[in-house]
Amino acid sequence: MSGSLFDKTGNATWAQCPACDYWFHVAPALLALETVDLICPDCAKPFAPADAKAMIGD
Amino acid sequence: MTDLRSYLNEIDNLVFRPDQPVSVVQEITALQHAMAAKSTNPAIFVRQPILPDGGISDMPVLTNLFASRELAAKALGIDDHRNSAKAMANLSSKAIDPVVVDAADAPVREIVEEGEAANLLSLPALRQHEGDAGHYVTCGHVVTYDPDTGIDNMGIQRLWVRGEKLLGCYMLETSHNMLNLQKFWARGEPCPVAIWVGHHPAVEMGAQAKLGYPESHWDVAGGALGEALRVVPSVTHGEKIMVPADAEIVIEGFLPPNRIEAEGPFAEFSGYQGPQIPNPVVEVTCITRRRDAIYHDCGSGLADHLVPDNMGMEGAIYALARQVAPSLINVHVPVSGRRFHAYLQFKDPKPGEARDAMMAAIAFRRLKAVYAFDDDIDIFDDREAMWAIATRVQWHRDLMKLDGLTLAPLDPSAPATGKTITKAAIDATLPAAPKPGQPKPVAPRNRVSDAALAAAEAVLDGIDTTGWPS
Repeated sequence: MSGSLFDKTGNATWAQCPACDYWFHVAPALLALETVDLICPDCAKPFAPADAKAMIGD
Repeated sequence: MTDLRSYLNEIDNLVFRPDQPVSVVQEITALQHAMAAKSTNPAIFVRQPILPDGGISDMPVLTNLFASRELAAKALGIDDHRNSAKAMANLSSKAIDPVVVDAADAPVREIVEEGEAANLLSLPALRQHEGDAGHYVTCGHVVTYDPDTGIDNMGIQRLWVRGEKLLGCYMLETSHNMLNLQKFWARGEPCPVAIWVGHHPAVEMGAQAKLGYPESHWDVAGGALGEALRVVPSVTHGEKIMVPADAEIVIEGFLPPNRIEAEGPFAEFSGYQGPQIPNPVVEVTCITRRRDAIYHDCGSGLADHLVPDNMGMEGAIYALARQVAPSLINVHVPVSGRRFHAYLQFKDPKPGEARDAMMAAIAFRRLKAVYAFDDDIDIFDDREAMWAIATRVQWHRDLMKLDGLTLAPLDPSAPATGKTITKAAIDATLPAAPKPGQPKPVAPRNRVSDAALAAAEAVLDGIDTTGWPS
């Protein structure tokens, strides 16, 4: 049954760093602020959520 | 004077001190993982921490201090860790007021680095796990105060070392430190903060007692220690924020108004990585420390992290549930369930009493499930708990699900949207005996006599079992 209460849909949002392609786990509450830069845990590059190379689950 | 180093002397033979240098980048934490896999939990004292630049830190790293329940209980003066629920429930009643000492009599003031001299990068903070955003202060007790009353608050919060004078600071939305911060920010003022690291484990555990707001933790920490805690005014904030005179390190600063930045990811207590989230930052003004300071780290998501807080939870849950169930005799918050499960143990509960107690306990925010067991089950042994659940529970009768309860923070399985979850209570107690002294109306459990067991243990006495199949 599609879309039921019992489907396992996951809950994590991932961002990909535009500089080093590293995927990391971000909270929707952080993305919702829009004005706060994400910081890549791998290369330390700060970037706006809109500049992420890719997003999963947002 | 009772402090971290006096405690380390007491447990000297229970501290592992590797001879070789060990890196602060994952290697020290890996030691904790390797020891946990062997079910052994000594404190770990790394005399030569290797810093990210390859140099050796002058400051040793202590970790795994809380990984053993036995050691943690003894540090609090509790003879048996199995009695921690009642002891922790009574911790507040033993409160002892702190005493203020002069800075000249405060070991944590032996070195004072203010302004340009203050450098967080001089601390051997660990980058514990893959994917962590950076090096974190994991055992920092963050002290703020309520600007309305002047009453201080204290809680351990993860702190990301982002530069010489900048920390990312994880503040849970419901924490009392966050309430203080919001009050300062509402006035357009920076929130003063001091962070102390390293003290006798009784102080660190007492400081984590769950109290009301606003309510200072110093007297409960002193009660846990068994003597008045020596405190000293902080360099930056004076008497508005006191810090322990016998701590190892103190970091002081301000949380500037409305400065919210990304913080994390960080491997969390759940055993999963917590995401990057919006959080305030600390601008550091001063670092004070002992001349030969010990840097205390806490292995996130390991027993080192879970044991002290879980023991505090046991006290809080016991106090909640005991009010409605006099037959409740003990509580265990097992490391296997992180902070999401609690085992409640009863002695001959009256009909409905185990359920009453579970309803009271499940209100504790962090819990997702509570379990009720009889007194013949060792609630400190997960195998016994699972055996009772497997053999005493009928799911149509013994499972209660409650919808719309508060979300357990950092639950990695929580729904992406919504602020409440469904929690569960499982009654694994047996039906009551028809009359006192009569057997319960169920099959008896298999057992051998005490005499036969003693004889078997005598046969095995002195036998080297190394290499036997597990």
